[in-house]
Amino acid sequence: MTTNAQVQPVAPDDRPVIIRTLGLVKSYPMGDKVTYALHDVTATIYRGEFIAILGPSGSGKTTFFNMIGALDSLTEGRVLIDEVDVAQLSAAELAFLRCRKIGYIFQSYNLIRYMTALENVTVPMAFAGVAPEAARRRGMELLALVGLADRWSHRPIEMSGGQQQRVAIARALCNQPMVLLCDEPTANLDLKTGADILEILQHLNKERGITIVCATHDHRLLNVCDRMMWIRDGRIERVEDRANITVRVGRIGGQE
Amino acid sequence: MKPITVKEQVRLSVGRCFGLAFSSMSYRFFRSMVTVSVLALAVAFLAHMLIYGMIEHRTKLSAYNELRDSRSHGEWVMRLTAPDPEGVILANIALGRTDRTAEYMVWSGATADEWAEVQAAAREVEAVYQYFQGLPPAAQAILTSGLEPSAALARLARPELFEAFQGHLAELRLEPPLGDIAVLKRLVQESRPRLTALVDRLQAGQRRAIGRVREAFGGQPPRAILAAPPAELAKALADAGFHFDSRTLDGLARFARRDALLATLTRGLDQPAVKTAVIQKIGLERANVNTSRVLEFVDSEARATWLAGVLSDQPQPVQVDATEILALARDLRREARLAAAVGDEVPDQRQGLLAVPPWMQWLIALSFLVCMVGVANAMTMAVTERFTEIATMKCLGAMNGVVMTLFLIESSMQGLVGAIAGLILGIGLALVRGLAIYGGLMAVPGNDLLLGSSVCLAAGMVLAVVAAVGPAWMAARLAPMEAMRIE
Repeated sequence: MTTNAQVQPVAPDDRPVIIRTLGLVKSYPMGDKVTYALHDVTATIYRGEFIAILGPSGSGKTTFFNMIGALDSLTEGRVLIDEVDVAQLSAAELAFLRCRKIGYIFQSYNLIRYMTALENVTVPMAFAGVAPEAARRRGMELLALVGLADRWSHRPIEMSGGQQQRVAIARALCNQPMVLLCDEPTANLDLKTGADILEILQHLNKERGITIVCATHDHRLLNVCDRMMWIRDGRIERVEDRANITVRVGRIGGQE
Repeated sequence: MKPITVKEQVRLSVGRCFGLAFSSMSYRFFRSMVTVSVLALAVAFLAHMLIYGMIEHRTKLSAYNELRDSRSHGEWVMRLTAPDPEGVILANIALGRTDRTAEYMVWSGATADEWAEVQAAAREVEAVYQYFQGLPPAAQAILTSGLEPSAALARLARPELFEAFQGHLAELRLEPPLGDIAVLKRLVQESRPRLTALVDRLQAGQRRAIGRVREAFGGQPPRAILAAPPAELAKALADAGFHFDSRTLDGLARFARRDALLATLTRGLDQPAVKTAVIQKIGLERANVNTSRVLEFVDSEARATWLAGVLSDQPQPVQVDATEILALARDLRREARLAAAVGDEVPDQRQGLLAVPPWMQWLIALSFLVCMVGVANAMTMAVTERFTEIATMKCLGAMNGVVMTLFLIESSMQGLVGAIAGLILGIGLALVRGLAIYGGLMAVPGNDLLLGSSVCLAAGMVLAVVAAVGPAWMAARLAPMEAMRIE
């Protein structure tokens, strides 16, 4: 479509922006040389969209994900969440942001091992100062939403990967975040379970209007997302609307 | 759509932190127990060394003090036999032993002024002796001409020898004794002759005093005099100018009666018929029949009665009470065990850790180091393996303070439990070891034990908390994903 997708957003500029990055660089010194995980990445994520970040392993997807989630320090550049520079925030404000505005879903679930499903879901609410009783009620609602109401007293090791990931989704949702950041949520799951998880994410995006950023190499996501962003070698290769892809696929297949 | 407003995160109450910490500990109970056991072992090692050191010292000290009667009996036998030797007198004066100097003042007839001068001279003489003894062997041989320090000092009264001495000092490039050659000269030429004269007068006085005491008891030997009733002995000793503690005299009388009984038994056992009876009963060889061997055999009432019977059933009967024989035998056995417990060293009369012998202090310091390393290692390991958990909690919006509070609570609980368990184990082991070595003679110092226990508890807990909170802080202050990468 365009030759310079890195710099110019594909979508119209009048859509409300939720996360922007400007010239993001993350590098690791390795002896004398410097390894770049991200190299001058400028990207925009709009409110309410479902964006997939695609790319081979080691391309910098996870690093980008950590950066826009304010989970890691950056070497250069800026991350703006709703036009607020993350670097300007104090530790307490960062904790507030991570607790209530962003939900995280990790490839390896990262549930706290010694807590039951319900306790895991209520932990962020505890950090947010929600009363225990209210937190438990809300935790049960969320577990019901992801279909695990009857497993509330199970600990992570007593659950399958899909169930753990669903607990993680319930946990990510508990403080009504504006953005859900998912780092390869289906990578460790079989096809059926992965499809279930994607269905839940799509439901959250359509029904609740939560912005979803999903780093993945699961191609089923193409059917679910609104936009795609390809990252390769720490740079954004291209950004496309899903509509354009469908059209292109149609052309290649010779149908229509 | 509403904008994202960023505020400060709320702080969690301590109660909720406790709840989180306890649920964490109860789930990881087994892992916690491993940490706690390592901690307990480390603290047990320290507690064992510390407490055992104190028990050993107290046991030796109380055994030494229990043997005081037998020591002071020996001392009094000496004092009633002949005057104190010059060396002993000088040392007593220099050290200012009040009981002895009071006697010395009476016997020498010295005035208070004279006495002060004598005391100064005695101190100087002692200092010179120490100077000689502290020299390297070659220098010592040259300066003393190979004589005893007292003789070497006496020689210096002759001017030509003093000059030679000065020459030797210059050759050897040594500081003169007492720091100043003029002071030394005055000592050898004026003070020391006066001191020697006083010591002679004193010894003569003591000889007369001994004579008066013996006269009061009809010329009996010293051992018999000490067995006299304490009141009579006290009067005679006081008349002669001896100083004593009335409690010591009670102990002395008890000891002296025992001494007399021992002498009676020895006399009885010398009779051939008794010897034969003993040989038949005990199976000793004739050459080995002596009081101590026979008393070793007497360990029950029946045997004591048998011995008393044999002794009284002779052409020249020796009447001894069976219960007294048994008591004597038990006394001697206990004394032997006390003497074995005390060993060669004279224990420090102080109490507490500083009184423990230096080599033991080194061991305790070393075990403190070992304990430190053990505790720090166990706690650091337990925290480092949980960096992922810390990172996850931070992703979910935990403040650094909350993470730190959780680890503080958990590590102090583990530290407390580990330190208490270790303390119990360590004290138990120390007691068992003490009992195995000293048996019933073991003495346990209550206050020191309490102090030592507190030291162990505090060391275990503080170290556990510091070793846990340090790494936890390291992980908590990083960005979550950086903490996750450390592993």
